[in-house]
Amino acid sequence: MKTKFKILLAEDDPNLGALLSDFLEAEGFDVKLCKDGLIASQALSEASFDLFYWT
Amino acid sequence: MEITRTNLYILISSLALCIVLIIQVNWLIETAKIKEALFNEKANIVLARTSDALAADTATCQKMEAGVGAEEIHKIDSLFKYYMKFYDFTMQYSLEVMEKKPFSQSNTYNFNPYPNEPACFAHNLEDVVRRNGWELKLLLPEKKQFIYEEMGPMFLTSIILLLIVLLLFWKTLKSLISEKKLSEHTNDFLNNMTHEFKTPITNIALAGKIMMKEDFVNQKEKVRHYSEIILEENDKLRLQVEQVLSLAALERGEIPIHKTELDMHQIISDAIKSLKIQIEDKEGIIQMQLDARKVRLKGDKTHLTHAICNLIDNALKYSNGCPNIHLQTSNHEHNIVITISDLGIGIEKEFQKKVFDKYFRVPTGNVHNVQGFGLGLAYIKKIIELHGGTIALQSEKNNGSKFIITLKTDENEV
Repeated sequence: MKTKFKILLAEDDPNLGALLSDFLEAEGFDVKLCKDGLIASQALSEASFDLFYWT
Repeated sequence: MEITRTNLYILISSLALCIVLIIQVNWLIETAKIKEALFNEKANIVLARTSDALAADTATCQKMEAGVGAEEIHKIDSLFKYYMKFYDFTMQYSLEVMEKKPFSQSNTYNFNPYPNEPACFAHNLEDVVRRNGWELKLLLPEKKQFIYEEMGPMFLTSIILLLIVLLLFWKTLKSLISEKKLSEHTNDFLNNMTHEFKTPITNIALAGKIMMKEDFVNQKEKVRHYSEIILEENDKLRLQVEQVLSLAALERGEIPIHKTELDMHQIISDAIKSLKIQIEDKEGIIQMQLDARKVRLKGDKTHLTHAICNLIDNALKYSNGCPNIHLQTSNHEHNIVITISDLGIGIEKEFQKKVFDKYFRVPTGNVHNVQGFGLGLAYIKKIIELHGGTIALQSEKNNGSKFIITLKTDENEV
């Protein structure tokens, strides 16, 4: 089974966050969206990710 | 402090100007001294020539041995007149022939111990009168006047020219500094604008790309969702463009203010109503204390509501956690005073004056955590000023900000 790459996406603009995660999910990634750095760092401590992207 | 090229130029030219000023003043003083020396010289020459002429006139000399009478004085006076005219030295004078005072040593001298006393020149008469200790005194009360008159035109032109140069230098400096500031702010503004415009543009592009990629034929709901996002982002762009355009128009004086009878409390509640979503979103608390009794004034409803809206919006934006905003009105004489205070992040002292400048934003480094162009407060100030009012700011870093608007109410209201 092909494993999905996991991406943690931190983006404060709700539309951009939703669109980016939709886009990336369509590309076959597993995306976790966080709306600020605090939530993102919490998510980072709870699970492991292959890529952490923030703007 | 970093020394830029412009600062260096300003420094050098100020220094040069100062030196030129000092040199010019020095020249003036030197000229005055030379003029005075020339004056003294002339007075002494006139005296000496008169005394020589007296000495040559033996008949008068013999008479003077006996004592100086009216005839002799007349003789001396006519000699004086002649020599003064000869040396182009016409002015009021008086003369005395008297016994020499013991302290004067030299043959010719002048002394002028009190500024208001006439300039006094004396010449020993030992060639004329064999009796020792007689001297001829020439008193010139208009010495200063004479020198001033001679120097007048030059002095006046120098002073006027110096003043003009100083004034122009100051004006040039001021406009240079303000231009520089404006260009800095314009840079900030451009940076801000690109950032503000980037997100909506990216979002629209992204939504388009997703719609192209995915097969949405059977998913009307999703098509609708993305279309909504595109429209929403488009709206944001439009609003931003309008904001910039409206301030530019206001700056050029193209926005007419339509004044109507207004109730300021109504304006405030309208403003709060239109910000309802933002306030609820942030779980903000607005405390109102509308104590003003004279609330009617003539003003532009849209712009005033906008201004109040902007201020409340700022208070919401620059508060950490749940915003706590205090809105207060009161009357002071014929004015209504509106205070909008928050417990937010506040503004440092050094930036407090600048926040009303166009394009100025309190520097936060490269963090764009709060959106804006730095036009809001400039717009508010402009609007308030167009209504003949004032806006002031009291703030402390990390201790909230307080904006105080003062507007004239209709005076005849009791």
